Amino acid sequence: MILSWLNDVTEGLQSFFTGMRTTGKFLVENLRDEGGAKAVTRQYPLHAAEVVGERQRGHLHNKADICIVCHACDTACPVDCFKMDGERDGNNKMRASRFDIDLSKCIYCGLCVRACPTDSLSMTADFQMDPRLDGERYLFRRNSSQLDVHLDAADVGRLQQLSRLPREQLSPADREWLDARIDVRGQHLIGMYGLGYFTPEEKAQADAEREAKKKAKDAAAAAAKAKAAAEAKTKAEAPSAGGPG
Amino acid sequence: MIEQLLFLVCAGAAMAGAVGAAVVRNLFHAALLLGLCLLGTAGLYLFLQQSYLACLQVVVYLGGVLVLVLFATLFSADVRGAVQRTPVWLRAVGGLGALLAAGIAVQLARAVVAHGKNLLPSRRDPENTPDAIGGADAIGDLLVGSWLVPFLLAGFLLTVALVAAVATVRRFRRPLEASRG
Amino acid sequence: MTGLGYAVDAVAVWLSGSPAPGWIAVTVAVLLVWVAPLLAIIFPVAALGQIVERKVAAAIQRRHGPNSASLEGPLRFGFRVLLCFLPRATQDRAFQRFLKLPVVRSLLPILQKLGIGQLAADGIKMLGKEDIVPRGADGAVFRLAPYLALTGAFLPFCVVPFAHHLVMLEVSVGALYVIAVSGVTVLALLMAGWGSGNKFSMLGGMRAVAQLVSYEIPVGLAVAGVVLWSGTMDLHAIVAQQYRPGVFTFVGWNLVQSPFLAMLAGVFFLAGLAECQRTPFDMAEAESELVSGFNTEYSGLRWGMFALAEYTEMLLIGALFATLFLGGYQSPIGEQWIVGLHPLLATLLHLGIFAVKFLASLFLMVWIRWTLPRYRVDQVMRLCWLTLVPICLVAVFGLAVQLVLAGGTEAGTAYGRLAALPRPALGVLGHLLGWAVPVLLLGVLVRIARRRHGGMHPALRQLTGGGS
Repeated sequence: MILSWLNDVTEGLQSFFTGMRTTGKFLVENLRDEGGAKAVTRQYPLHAAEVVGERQRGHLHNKADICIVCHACDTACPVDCFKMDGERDGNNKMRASRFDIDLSKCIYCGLCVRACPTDSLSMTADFQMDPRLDGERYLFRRNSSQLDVHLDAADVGRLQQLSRLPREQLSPADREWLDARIDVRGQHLIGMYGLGYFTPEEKAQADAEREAKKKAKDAAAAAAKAKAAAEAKTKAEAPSAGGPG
Repeated sequence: MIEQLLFLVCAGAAMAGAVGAAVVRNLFHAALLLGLCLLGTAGLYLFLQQSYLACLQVVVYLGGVLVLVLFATLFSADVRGAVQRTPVWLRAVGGLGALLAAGIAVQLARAVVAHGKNLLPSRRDPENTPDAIGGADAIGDLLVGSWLVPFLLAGFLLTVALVAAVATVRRFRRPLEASRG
Repeated sequence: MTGLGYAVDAVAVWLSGSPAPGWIAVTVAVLLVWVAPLLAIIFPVAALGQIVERKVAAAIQRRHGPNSASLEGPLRFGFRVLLCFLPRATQDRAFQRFLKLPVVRSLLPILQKLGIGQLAADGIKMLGKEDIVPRGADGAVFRLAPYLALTGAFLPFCVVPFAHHLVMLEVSVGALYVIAVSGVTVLALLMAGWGSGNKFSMLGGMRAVAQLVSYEIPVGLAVAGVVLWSGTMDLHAIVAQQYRPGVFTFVGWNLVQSPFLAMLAGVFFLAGLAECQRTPFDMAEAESELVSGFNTEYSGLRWGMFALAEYTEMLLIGALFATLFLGGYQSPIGEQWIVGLHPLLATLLHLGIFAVKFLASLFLMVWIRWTLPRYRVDQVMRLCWLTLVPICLVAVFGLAVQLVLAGGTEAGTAYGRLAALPRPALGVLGHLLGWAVPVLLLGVLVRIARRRHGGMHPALRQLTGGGS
């Protein structure tokens, strides 16, 4: 009995020291690189963010040229974050004249993407909402009940221009205009209003990526199909050779 | 000045704790007040320059016995004392006990008033210093000297209690071990 | 020290109103002169422990730890408070000038990287939180418990010697006093658990108390072993007893005096971990099982007091470990030269060495916390009663045998301003034999045990389905 007790104690001590050695190794490794540069975690706003995965669900993106303003996304949306208007173009097709996504409401569920009949809606890998990084696309308001301010491109331009200037240099009219549209601190992330459009270059790039991905997926599916067919064929050729009786 | 004040604080804590422990309905509070009483007593030992005794008082009574008492009160169905009613005979016994205690206290006070001067240990007498009476050395000598047999008996009793506790627990552990494998 | 001594005398005379103050007046004066500085040092260091803990944890887990909270806000607030008689613009200008100082400008980012700003931010957050007392709580008990916990954690520092004669109370029962007053924490935990009016707290409190009461036995036995060896309970005398003249002072430390004392040191450290409820013994305040146990219902400053009490107790265990086993404030090499220096310089050196010693054990505790998972509540008890207590008993018995074989005591060397203390009369041969015989015996026993019972643990064998 005493011997087995002694064995238990030595075993416990041994495993204790093994554990301490392991964590100690980590500690030393990490401390040697000053301040933990070897650390796996990233200091997000300081270091650039990484896209996490292929199927990451970031901000919504609408390809305006193939959107038919069918309101399927609006119906599917559980939180009612779309606001859209359409008009007929030269070919008598519906085209979006306005397509706003209230990103402060969006819950990133992806139901609208499933509902979209033309694949114009998609979720991008983009997730940042920091006005200091990406101020062009967002319009900040104090709360989401005041969201119905329409902003055209000129307004957005004026907004950016004004919000970059020191506040003391603004004329009273400008200041009033700005106060009606933007949080005074410009960083106050309470409400958020997405315009839903990317710049043409961004759009082209996203489309190209999407096409490439789709092609790769189709090719993979075809390959898998061929492989399955081949397997079925071999199975058919050698019936119940080693199969279960 | 400060000495009298501290003495009054210690004595007051001891007395208030004792009275509170007897009077308060909430068992948990009563046990805590008992702790206050014990702490006050430890303070009084300090006034007698018996720091060893005071420390022992805190270790044994405050750290051991009181915790046991507190645990015991938590097993009571009525810790807060909401429903219990003291029967009349118990009150009578309590009253008698209080009278008895008061009588003893009066007698003690009279004795102290009459012979108090002789009770104080004098610093000049080496046989009679506080350390020679209640220091660690003195108590150790007594425990392994003239009081060796009672000391061993008490130790034996504690060992028996410990073994009994282990045996009691083992009875419950057997099915667990059987199920383990 | 001499300065502080004079201060104590002056305050004592003032308190008692007579030129020859009684010992109680002296005690109160000592408390007054000592408690304030100690409070001002111990508690901030304990708070710093939290940051150390988070930084070490981060390093072990490959993270950064707190490094973003800036110190600017608290400093600005401090300036505003200090210069509250000046207009706001002047305050700000002074603050800007302060920020532009080269020292400040180079120091602030480093402090921020080290997470000191986080400490300030946490403190301010804690102060700002609402002090909630739940409806079912036992008001007075609930409110009193944190103060009691903090008192129990702080009081033992009164007898810890920080440097030669730099000790608040040189009482003859120091070691016992430490064990006695740290027992007050037990009451505090039970009060917190019961006073919260919450069954998780109650369970946590009872577990904590059961654990603390159990682990007081190994701690007490370990201290008893040291007391047996040193022949005194005065912590300052225990430190002085570990003094050896010569270059290699550390041969006198209790840790290397006897293998049994080394065993007791290990047990003391582990049981000390359990006493301050650190991982792996923190089942009583497990967040995931008991919603942090006895302090579930506490918020704001009262919760902070419990946290501070925990870190203060860690410091205490570290300080006691250093005092009992690592020669206290003595330098490992060449202590006799340090004692010969000017008292002020020697005190500073001793303080530094002592700080290094107990910070090292603080670091070790943190390291253990981020290595080991927590024990189940029955395993905690099993470890105490079936492993640590037997080891302690064997070690104390071995010490006693060693002392009997040594056959009496010899006069040691006088240390600094202390007279020579008696110590076990073991020559060089005695010491060597004292190490060789137990170690050989233990080695042989362990060898036999490993051969007979070694191999895979039954549970592991069951999991892996046999194997080697």
